[in-house]
Amino acid sequence: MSTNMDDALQTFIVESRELLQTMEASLLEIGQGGDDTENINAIFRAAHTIKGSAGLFSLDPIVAFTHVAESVLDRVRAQRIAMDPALARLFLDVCDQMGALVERVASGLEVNGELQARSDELARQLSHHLEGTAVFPVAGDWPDGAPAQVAPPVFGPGCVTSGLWHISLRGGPDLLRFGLDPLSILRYLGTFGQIVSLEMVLAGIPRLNQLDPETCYMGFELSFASKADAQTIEDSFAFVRDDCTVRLIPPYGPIADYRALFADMPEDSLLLGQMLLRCGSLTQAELAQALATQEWLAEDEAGQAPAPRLGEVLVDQQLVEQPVIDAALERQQQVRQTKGAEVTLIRVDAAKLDQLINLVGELIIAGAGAQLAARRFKAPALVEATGVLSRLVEDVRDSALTLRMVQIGATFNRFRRVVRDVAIELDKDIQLDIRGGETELDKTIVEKIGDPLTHIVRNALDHGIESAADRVARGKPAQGRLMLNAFHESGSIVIEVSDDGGGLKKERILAKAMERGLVAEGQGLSDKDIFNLVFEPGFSTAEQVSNLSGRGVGMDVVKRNIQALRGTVDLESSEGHGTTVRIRLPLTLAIIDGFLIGAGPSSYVVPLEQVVECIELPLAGQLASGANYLNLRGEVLPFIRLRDLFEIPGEPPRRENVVVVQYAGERAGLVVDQLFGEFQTVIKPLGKVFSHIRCIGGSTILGSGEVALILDVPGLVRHVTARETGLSRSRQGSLAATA
Amino acid sequence: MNESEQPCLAVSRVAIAGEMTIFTARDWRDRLLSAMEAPGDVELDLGMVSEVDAAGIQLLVSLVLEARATDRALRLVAVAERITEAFEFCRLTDFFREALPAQA
Amino acid sequence: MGKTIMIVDDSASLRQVVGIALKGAGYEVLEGCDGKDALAKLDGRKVHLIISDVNMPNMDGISFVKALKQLPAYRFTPVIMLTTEAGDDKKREGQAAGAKAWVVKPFQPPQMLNAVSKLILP
Repeated sequence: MSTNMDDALQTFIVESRELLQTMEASLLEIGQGGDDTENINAIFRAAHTIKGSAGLFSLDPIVAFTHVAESVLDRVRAQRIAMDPALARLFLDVCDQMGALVERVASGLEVNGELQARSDELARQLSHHLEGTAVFPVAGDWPDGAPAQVAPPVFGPGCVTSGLWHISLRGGPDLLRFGLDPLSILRYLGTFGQIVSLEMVLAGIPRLNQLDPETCYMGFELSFASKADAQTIEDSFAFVRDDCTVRLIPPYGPIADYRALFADMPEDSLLLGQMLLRCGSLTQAELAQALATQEWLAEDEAGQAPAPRLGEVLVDQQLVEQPVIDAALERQQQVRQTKGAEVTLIRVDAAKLDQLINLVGELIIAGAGAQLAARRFKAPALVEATGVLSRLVEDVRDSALTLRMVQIGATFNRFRRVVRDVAIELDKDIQLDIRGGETELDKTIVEKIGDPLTHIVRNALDHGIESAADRVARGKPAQGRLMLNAFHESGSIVIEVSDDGGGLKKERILAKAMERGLVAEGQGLSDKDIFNLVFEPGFSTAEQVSNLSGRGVGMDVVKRNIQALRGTVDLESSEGHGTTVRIRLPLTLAIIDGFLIGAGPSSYVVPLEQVVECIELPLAGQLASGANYLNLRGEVLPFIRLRDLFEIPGEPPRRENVVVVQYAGERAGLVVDQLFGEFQTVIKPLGKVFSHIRCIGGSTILGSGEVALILDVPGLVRHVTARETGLSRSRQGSLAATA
Repeated sequence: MNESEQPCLAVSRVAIAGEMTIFTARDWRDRLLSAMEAPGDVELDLGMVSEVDAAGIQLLVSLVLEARATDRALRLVAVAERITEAFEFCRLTDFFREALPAQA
Repeated sequence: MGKTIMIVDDSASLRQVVGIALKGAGYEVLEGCDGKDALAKLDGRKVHLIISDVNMPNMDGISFVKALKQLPAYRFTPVIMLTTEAGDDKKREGQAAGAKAWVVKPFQPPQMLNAVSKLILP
C-alpha cells in the first residue's frame, strides 16, 4: 500500500471511531423522547459510511458485517421494523463489534477466528430482522473484470460473416442535457476493444436555423472488435440506456437482428444499409437478404403470425451468453427471495394448467360414459375395469386441482404492510394476527380475493378499531387486534377478518337502513339480518369519511365480488367487543363432487358437500295443506319443489324425496322425483344469457351426453328461507299442530 | 470564450474560442446564426477551441447543412487539435473537407 | 490540461481514496463533505463531473443534484450517484433529478475509474 493509501487508512480509522461514537450516542438516545428519526438516520449513516469506506480498502470482514447491520437499519429507516429497546440493545453490541473490527485494522492484524465468530453470531441475530428481504451480494465477490469467453461463433445460413460486434446508437433528445456525451461512451469502448469503423448518422440533424443546440439528433453505427463478453459491452451503455436507443449485434450475429435494426431505426433502410456496408458489418448479399426478409416479415406480421418471444429467439439462436444468463438468473433469484413466501418451484403458464384441468374434466365425463355403458352390458369384468379407471381418474382430478392450489399465507402477509401503514396514518396501535396461512385454495380465487379483503381490512382498521385513548377509556388494552384467519369447512374455505374494536351499532344501522328505505319500519329483523344490511348497495355508516374507506366503494361491491366467486360473505358483531367478517369460498372453480337428482325428465346436480341427508317426503295427507315446510325431527325445515321452481309439467311420482341441503348454517329441503347418487361434476359456466337465472350455478354434461343444471344452493337456501321469514311466527304455531 | 466579427466585403468571419460544448452550444449557435444571416461567405476560426463534445460537433454539422441549404461557402480558417481529433474519431473529416483549410 | 472532478461524500477516507485514484488517472479533484459544503466550494468553478453520495448530513445527494441542476454553470454537468445495493429507489430518484450515472457502494477504485471514463475523457 502506498504512503498515500496508508494515510487514507489512518483517516478511515479515525473517522470510523468518531462515527461509532455518534452511533453509540444515538442508540442510547433512542426511546428517550427525542427525535428518533434523526437518531436512526445518524445510526444508519454511520454504518453506511463505514461500509462504503471499508470497501475501498478491501476490508471484507468489516464490509460483510456492516452490510447486514446496514440492511436492518434500512428497514428501520423505512419504518418496516421498529427500533425497539431489544433491537437497540442488539445494535449496541453491533456497534462494539464494528469498533473491535476497526481496532483490529488499526493494529495491523488480520481478523482472527474468535472475532469472526462474534461477527457471524451478531449477523445471525440481525438477519432475524431481515425476513423476506433480498440478500444482496456482499464483499468478496468483486467483479474481477476477467472477460468471459465469447461464445463460439454460430455459423449458419441465417448469420452474417462479420466477426465484429455491430453497435447502433441513436441519442434521445435529452441525452446531452443530462451531461451524457455519446463520444465519451464510444471512446470508453476503445479501452477494451477497437472501433474498426464508425459512421455518424447525420440524417436527423437539422440545419442551423432549426437546431436546438442542446437537443441530441445524432446517431452512430459502428463495428467493434473486442474479446470482452456481451455483459461488459452492454454495461458500457448502462448510464445512457434510458436516454438512447442502443442495439448490440454480436459477431456472426443473425441477419434477423439486422432486419430488426432496419425496422427500429428511423432512417431510410437503404441509407442505413449503405452505412452497414461501409462499417463492414454486412456484405452486399447479406444486406439484400436482410432487406428482403424484412419485407417478408412485414407481410408475415400483417398475416398475424404469432411473434416469437424474445427469450425463445435468444435461446434458439444461442445469442445469449453465459454471463448474461447468469446475471438474469441472479436477478430472478433476488426477486424470488424478496417474494419470500410466494416461492414456487416451476413457473407454468396458467393457460396450460387450465387446459390440463379441462382435459381432466373431459376425461371424467368420458369415464362416466364408459361406466354407464359397462353397466348396460352387464359385463362384470368391464364394470370392474371402469370402476378402477374412475378411481384413478378421480386421483388425477385431485392432483390436477392441487396444481392450482396455493396457500393463502402470502396474500395474508401482504396485509402486514397495509396494517402498519394504515395504523400509522390513523395514529392507532394495531397488531395483526395471522392464522391458517397454510390453508390452500384455488389460485384464481386467491388472485381475486385480494381487493375485497383489502377493503374489509381497511374498514376494520378505519371504523372498527378505536383510537388508543378510546380503548383505554373503555377498559380495553390500548393496542387493537386484527385477526386474519383461514380454514377449510365442509368443502369451502372460510376466511375471517376479526377485530376487537367497537363493533357495529345496531340502532344506527337500522336507522340508516330505514332512512335509505332498505327496510320497512317494524320489520322484525334478527341481529344477523341487521348487520348484513351493511352489504346492501348504497349503505355506509361511517359518519366521517376518512381517506381510507371513503373511496366510494362500499361493502356491496365487496359482496358482489365475492358472489362472483360463488362465495358468500356475512358479518357478526358484538357492540363494544368487535366484528368478524366471514367469507366463504369454494375450494375450486372447476370440478365438484356432486349429487345427481331428477325432477321430471331433467337432471340436476347439488354440490355433495352441501347435502346433509335425504329423506322421503311425507305423503300429502301428513303435511299441512299447501305448507312449504315439514317437521324434521322436531325442527322446521322449509322446502321447495324443484317441479314448481322450474315449472316442470306433469304429475310427480307418488313417493317424492327430499334432499336436505345446508349452507352457512341454514337448512332447506329440495323436493325431487328421484335420487341418482354421487356424481363427479365438471362445472361448465353458463353463458351470459343464463346469468340472470336464479338458483342455477352452472351446467355439466352427464356420461350419457345429456346436460344437467347445477343448483346454486346458497341461492336456493336464501330463496326458501326468505319466503319463509314473514311466516315464521305462524309457522311455529302450525308446526306444533302438525307434530 | 470570446468572439470577434470582422465584416469584410461579403465575408463574415467568426472565431470560436474556449469551450464548444453543451454548456456554450446555445451561445455559439446564436452567433453563428447571425453570421449566416449576413450575405456572403463565412469564415470560421476554430483555432482557439479548447474543448469540444458531441454538442459542439453537432453544431458544426448543422452549420454546414445551413451553408448548403443557403448555398453559401463555408471555410474553416484554423482548426484546433481537439477539433481535428474529434472529426477523425467521428469519421467526419470527409464531411468537412471542402470547408477545411488546405493543409488539413 | 486535466479535467476537474468533484467528489462529495461525508467520509473523509472515501474522498481521500477516490481522490488518489482520480489524481492517478490525471484528473484534478475537488472535495465536498456534503451537499451544502459542495455547493459552497463549487462557487461557479468549472467542474466536468461530480461524484456524490446519497446519504449525507446537512444536504443529501438528491437535494444536492436538484440544486445543482438549477445552476446554469452545472445544469449539464454529469453526476455519478453513489448508491447502495438496496437503494434502487434512491437510484431512480437520483435519475429523475438528472443524475444518470451511478456506482454501487461499496466499490473499489477501478470500478469508479470505469464509471468516470464512460462519462468524460481524461
